[in-house]
Amino acid sequence: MENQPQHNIDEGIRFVVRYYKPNSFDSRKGWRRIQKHIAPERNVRKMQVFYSAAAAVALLLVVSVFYFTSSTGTKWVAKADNVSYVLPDSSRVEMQQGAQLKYDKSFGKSERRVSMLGEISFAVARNEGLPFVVSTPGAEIQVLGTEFTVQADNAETRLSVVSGKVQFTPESPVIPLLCSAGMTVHYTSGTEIVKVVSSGSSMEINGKDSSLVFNNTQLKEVVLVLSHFYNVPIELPGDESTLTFTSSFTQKNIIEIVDIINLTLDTHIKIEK
Amino acid sequence: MPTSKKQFSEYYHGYYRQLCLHALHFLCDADEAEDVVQDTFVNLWDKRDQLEKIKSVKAYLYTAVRNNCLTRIRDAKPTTSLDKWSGEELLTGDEQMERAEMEARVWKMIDELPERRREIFLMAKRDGMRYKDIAEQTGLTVKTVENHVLRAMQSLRAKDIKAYLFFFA
Repeated sequence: MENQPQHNIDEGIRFVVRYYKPNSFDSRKGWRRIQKHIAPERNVRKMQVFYSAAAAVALLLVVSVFYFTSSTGTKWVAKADNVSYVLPDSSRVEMQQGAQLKYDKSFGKSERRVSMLGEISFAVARNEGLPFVVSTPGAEIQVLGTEFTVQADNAETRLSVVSGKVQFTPESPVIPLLCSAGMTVHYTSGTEIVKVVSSGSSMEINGKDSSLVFNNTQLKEVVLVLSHFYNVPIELPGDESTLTFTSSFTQKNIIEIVDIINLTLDTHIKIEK
Repeated sequence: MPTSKKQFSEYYHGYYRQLCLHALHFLCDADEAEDVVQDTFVNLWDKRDQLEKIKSVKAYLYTAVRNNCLTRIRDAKPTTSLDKWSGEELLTGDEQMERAEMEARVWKMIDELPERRREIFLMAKRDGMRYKDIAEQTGLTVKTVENHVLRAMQSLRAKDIKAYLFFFA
């Protein structure tokens, strides 16, 4: 009887080893995949609770949002702070006073596109087949994940990501920036300045002056920015992609910049021919 | 009171890996096993209004995974089902759960081995390579390879005995 558990364990080890695959059977990864099956339900449930608990408030919300429906689409204007609204795909938005949100009839056909001004928070219902796109006068934000807030007027767009991932693309310079939870982006159209701040790192891209500032930025992001900024493909060895880099460049050419990074970090970044 | 998302998440993270191993005994394929477990949890979520009537969610999940595996085997080609189905029912339900829990711990411990050691350990135990060939392929000495494998085995066994005693002693 003493040896019984040991025997079982060896048998167990043999069995596990036969089928073992790294990165499998990980509940955290599974949990991310299962979200799309359980997330929409959750939104619906929340809204039901919300309505039954506070019918009076709901009425108030309806009154405080003016909406216009025309043949081309729907426009919402918030007349008070913290106005909630549910889009046709069951994504939720919370609008601050004066915020405007528009979507047209094609919403949800090949993509879910809304245009906006003011300050709006989004909790986007997951649907990988239909990208959710927020367009502001200066930038386009493509949503790959869930919750974020956008503040936009004609000159500036600010984004802060609460959870999940979104892709922020300023109008000029056109660089698709992948932003994850905790990151904020501030873009000013006139000066073409993009500031990206996350915990422990930041960067600033200035399209007018052609200057770049990296502060503790991961190399994969540095390389992404460089390759779009200078419009050249750049190769970064995978094992070097999470090194971090701090420096600023003004009106340097891309060959110089790559040399400087390689010399500083002893890396092997290459500009592809 | 339907099961909340938080409660559901606790079931999910608590039982996910062991259910995968339970399914692996039926399906003999890691991807398929994970697939079945994922489907089973989606079904559980759809039935969350009725869960309070279930005495043991864990036992329910084990049975559901088993049934879903059998359905999958039945719907697959008949030849595969004969190969794969090999007297699993010799163990009682409790024994199957204990075994899956133990194997889930082994799986996690392999995950946690240092990368180099894990690679060598898998070459030896999964791929059945001889120490000499592993040494040649990795540029290590036979002695070092042997050492890696033995120490990997030791850590799997040692840690597991502790866990085993903790749970069952």
